[in-house]
This record gives sequence, structure tokens and C-alpha cells, in this order.
Amino acid sequence: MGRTSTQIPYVSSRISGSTGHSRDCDPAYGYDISVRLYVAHVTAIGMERLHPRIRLVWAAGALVSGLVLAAIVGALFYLALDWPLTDTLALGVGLVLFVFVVGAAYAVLRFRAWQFELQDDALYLERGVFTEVRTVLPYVRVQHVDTQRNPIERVLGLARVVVYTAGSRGADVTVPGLTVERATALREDLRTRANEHEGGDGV
Amino acid sequence: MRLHPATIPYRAVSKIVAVVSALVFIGPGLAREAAEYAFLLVPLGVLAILGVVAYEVAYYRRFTIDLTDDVFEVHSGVFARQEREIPYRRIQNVDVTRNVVQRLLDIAQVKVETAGGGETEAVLRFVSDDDADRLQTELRTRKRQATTEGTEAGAEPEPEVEVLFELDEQSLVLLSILSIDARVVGGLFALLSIGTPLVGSFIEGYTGTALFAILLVGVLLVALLVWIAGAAATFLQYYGFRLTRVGDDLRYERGLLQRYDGSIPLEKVQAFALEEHALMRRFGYASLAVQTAGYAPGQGPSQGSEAAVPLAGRTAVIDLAQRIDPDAPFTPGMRETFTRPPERARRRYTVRYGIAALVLTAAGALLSVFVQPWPWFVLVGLVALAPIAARRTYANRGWRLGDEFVVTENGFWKRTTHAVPYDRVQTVIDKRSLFQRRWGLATIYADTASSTSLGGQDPAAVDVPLDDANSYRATLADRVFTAVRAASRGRI
Repeated sequence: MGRTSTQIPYVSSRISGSTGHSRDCDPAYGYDISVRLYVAHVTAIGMERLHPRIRLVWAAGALVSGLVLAAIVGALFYLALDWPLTDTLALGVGLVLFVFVVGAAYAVLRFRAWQFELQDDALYLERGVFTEVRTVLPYVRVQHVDTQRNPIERVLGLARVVVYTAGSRGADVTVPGLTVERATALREDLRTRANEHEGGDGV
Repeated sequence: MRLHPATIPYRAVSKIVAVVSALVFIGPGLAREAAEYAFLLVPLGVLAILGVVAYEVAYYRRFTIDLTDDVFEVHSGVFARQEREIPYRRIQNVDVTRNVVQRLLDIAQVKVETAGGGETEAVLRFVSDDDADRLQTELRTRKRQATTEGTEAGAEPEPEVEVLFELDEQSLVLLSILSIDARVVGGLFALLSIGTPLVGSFIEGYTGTALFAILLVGVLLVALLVWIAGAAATFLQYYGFRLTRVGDDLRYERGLLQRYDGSIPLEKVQAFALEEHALMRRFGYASLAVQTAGYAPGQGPSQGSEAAVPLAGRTAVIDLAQRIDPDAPFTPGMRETFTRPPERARRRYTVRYGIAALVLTAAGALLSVFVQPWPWFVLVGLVALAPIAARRTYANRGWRLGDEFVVTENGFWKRTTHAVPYDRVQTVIDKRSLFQRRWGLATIYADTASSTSLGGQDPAAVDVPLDDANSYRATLADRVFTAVRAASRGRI
């Protein structure tokens, strides 16, 4: 991670003309400098995207849910329905695989849909696979900003920024899949902009 | 100032009643399991009662209320002591509530709320009736003095009280009859879940059409019961409703058994909602709610919507909205100025209701085949209703970006027309579901700091043509930026 400046976000490989998504998320491959562009270019070309490794975070999340589901269903079938152990294990493995594959595919689609941008007056986000959501969050409405990391994110070196507003529907907007440096920088940036756009008590 | 001494017996008795009613549930089982220790119950019970009484005496003695020069001080707590100071200028609401028993004892509960934060800052359980009124007036006066300090010399006199609306008895009865709300549905489910086993034994021996008829009558009876219960609840809730304006606050009183007396600061109003359900539309009535941030009196925590006018003729309600806020964009003919979703949205609703009707029919047929034969094919008739329902949904959807407000309209049974001032919008959210994208439609929400009640509508332009969604979202956001900038300049 150390080679490049913290100011450099990840840019869609579609935009940068790289070879594709799978390549820049493969940890073994390393982070090809060709998929990175400077911020100035990003605003000219397109919006900022999440770090590709977020797909691993989401896929790992799916794996965990799959394991939990398999454990519950397995216990039910084994204890309550008296299934043989081997059949139960096969069912469990099948469930885990199924949930993981679906979750991983969804993670890829989610990553492709996610992008955000710091506009003049507002943080703008686009996301969502089945339901596309575009949020305009004016800086004046920012109550406070957090960076958060859950255990999976910590293992994979990612963090997320949570922006709180006084609103009811979009009360907290989360930007996941940021490197720790980028998350810190984004948090500081949002805080500065929120202060510049100060407007009363926020309600 | 202290709590009222009647607090001690009142609080002690209500605690003991709670314990006893819990014991009634677990007691019989316990008695069977450990009959030889049953004699212990009496001394234990006496000990518990003594403990509760001692606690309440200590609570009363420890509780002190003080109005100092610049803060409202409450010291409380028996085991964990708490000293709370609330600066007068931060106080947003002072609410007084009295239920029947409390009114007999001449005591009242006072709640002091501040802006921001979901919970009540101070709850006084309970002070004497007179103290409650004195505190309410005094805290409001001191709040006003604290906020106007520096700008104006000397204490300001209590502003004039302007009566905006009083609910007369005829309207109250009408309101009760017309009230159909979310609680009714909840009650219906509760009754059905209790009633199902009874029904099982009752309908044994009947089949086919006879069974169907019996069930239909049963459902209608239950609906009637629930409706009467709902009407009674509304009657009790809105008895003696009165809305006044005092300076920059809206104040209201209502309730028969439980009397509420609270205020809504006009500066915290997030949105106006003109609500008309099907029956009200039919007879030309409407109601007006104000949605506030930070506090909704009598509605539990933090946020919500409070009726400003529970029921009145539509034009009267619109006039009142204008008196509350002269800029309020409600006019009798406003609906003609709304932009409606494109025609294809109506087709979408037809398809959607049609599918729902078919699914219901299929479920009915399965039930008929596998459980109990009944004339399920009557459900096919529902499909014919789909276009009618679709037309209704369609006719009640619209929006307008006004000069100072974004106005949206939605609702099938209850049509809600929201007016949100641009400088109250928190975020602009543009959503396109998979199905909406197929029809080339989008929904744009103007999110505010108020949350509507369960089953309520949010201010949203539903089914905007996808081609216009981006520009609509951008325009709305732009007006929000401009309005917020103007508002913050005004404050400085």
C-alpha cells in the first residue's frame, strides 16, 4: 500500500481501461498502478469508486451468513428430523456453497454499482443492484462523521465512513470499501466541508 | 419546589399492582411446584411492600426541583444520584399529562424536552396540579427571556394567546366515526388470533357456501367491533381538542381520560401534511398534521407528527394552514397544479393489482382443493377491480416544486399531501427499483428530520419519468442549497 499517496482513490477499471475487475482485486497480483488515477482526473472522467477488495469483504460476509445458516439448518435436520450425519453434512456444505456463490456474485454487482463524488455543495452517492439509489447529502446537513472498521474489514485493511444527518430516512449514509488512509482523508474532508457550509442547528 | 406528597402512595401502589399482576400469572404454577414453601409468600410480600414504600419515600425526599437564574435544576435518585441542569434557552417543550387517577389526586406529570437527542431531559413524576401549571408558564417565560436576551432590553410580556382551532362536539363524533387507522388493523389481527380456535369449533359441520357465508359474517362482525373500539379511542384522545398560537409556539390540549397539554415550536416544524382519507374526501373533510423534529408530544420518543387540526372542512383546514404559516402552499385548487406520473404508471398499477388479485385467487383455489371446498372463484372478481384501484392510486399521486415548498401527494385510502419547506430537506434520495426501471420510472424522496408514524406516507414524488428524474433531483437539491444558505444568512 505504501507506494502511492493517500490522495489516490481507486477508479473503475472500466474507466481507466485496465483489464477488468478480477485482476485488481486479486491480492496475489498486487495493485497495478495503471488502475489508479489522480483525483483531478477522477472528477474529469467519472466518480470515485470503492476499493476492489470490498468484494472480498462482502463475499466473506456472505460466507459467514452461509455458515450460520448451515449450522442452524443442520442442527434442525440432525436433531429434530434425525437425518444421518453424512447427509446433514452434505446439506450443510451445499448450503454454504450456495449462499457463498450467490453472495459473491452479488458482491461483484454491488461493487460495480457503487460510486460516489464530493460535489460543490453535497456528497453524492450512487449504489444498489436491484434498486438503484442516488443520494444527495448536502454538507450543511452533516451532523458528524465516523470511520468504522469491522473485523473482516480490519483483516483486509479496509474501513468505511459513516455520515450522520438529522434525517429519518437517510439518517446515516455509509461509504464502505475505503483504504484506511482514504477513509481518514474523506472523513476530514467531509468535516471541513460541513464546517464551511455551517447553517444553523441542522434541523 | 418538591414533588407532591401524593406521589408516594401513587407510585408505590402502581408498582405493587404491577408486581401482583405478574404474580397472578406465575403464582399458580409456583404454588403447585413448591407448595410447602407457600407460607413464605406472606412475609416476603409484606417485606416487598415495605421495601417499595421505603424506596418511594426516599425517592420523594431526594427529589428537588429548582429554578435558578439561568438553569432548571433537578436533583434525583435514591441509589444512584443525579443532578441535572437544563439551561432555559435549550428547553423546547414543557408538557403536562394527567390521567384519571392523577386528576383525582390533583397531581400531574411534567416532561421537559430539549432540542436534539431522543429522550426527555427531565420527567417530574408527579407534582401538584398548580405546580405543573406554574412550572409550564414559568419555564416558557424564562426560555423566552433567555433566547431574546441581548437583542431586547428587559423582560418581554407573555405574548397573546390566539385560538386557532377548537374541535366542537359534532366534529369530534364525526372524527371518531371516520377514524380508521393503523391500530384498527393491529386490533383486527389480535382479535383474529384469539378467535381462531373458537371459530374452529363453531364452524364444524358446515361446508361449502354456508361456511363461506358464516366466515364472511364473522369477519364483518370483527371489523365492526374493531371500528367501534377505534372510534372510542379517537373520541377519548381528541376530546376537548384546542389549538392555540402563543408567540412562536403552537400549543394544544386534548384528551378525556389522559389529558395532554403540549407545544410545538414553529421553528421546528419539518413539514405540513394535509390528510384526507376516502370517507373524508367523500364528505369534503380534511385534517392537518404538523411534523416536527426532536419531539412529538404524547407520541413517545423524539419524532413524529401531531394533528394540528384533527377534522374540519377542507377549505377551513387550508385557511388554518395559512394562518399557521402564511407561506404554506395549500390552496383549494392546488391539485390541478400538480405534475402527475406518466400514463404508463397507471398501467403499472393495473398490472400490479392484477397480479396481486391473481395470487390471492390462486391461494383461494389451493385452500379450496386441499383444506376445505368453498366458492373460491368469487375471488376472480377482484381482477376486475384492479383497473379501478389503479386509477385511484394514479389519481392520488403527484408533485410540485413550488417557490418555497416541495409539495407531494400520495395514498390510496388516505391521501396525504406533504408540503416540505426547502430549508428543511435533509437529503434528496432518488430510488429506482428493478420494476420501476422496466417502466422507466423513479421515486424521489425529500427526507426531513421528522419521521412519520407507522403506515404513514413519506414526502416523495413517486413514479417520476426516468428521463426527468436526474433533472428533478438536481433542481430539488439546488433549491435546498439556496434555501439553506438564505436561512442561515437570516439567522446571523
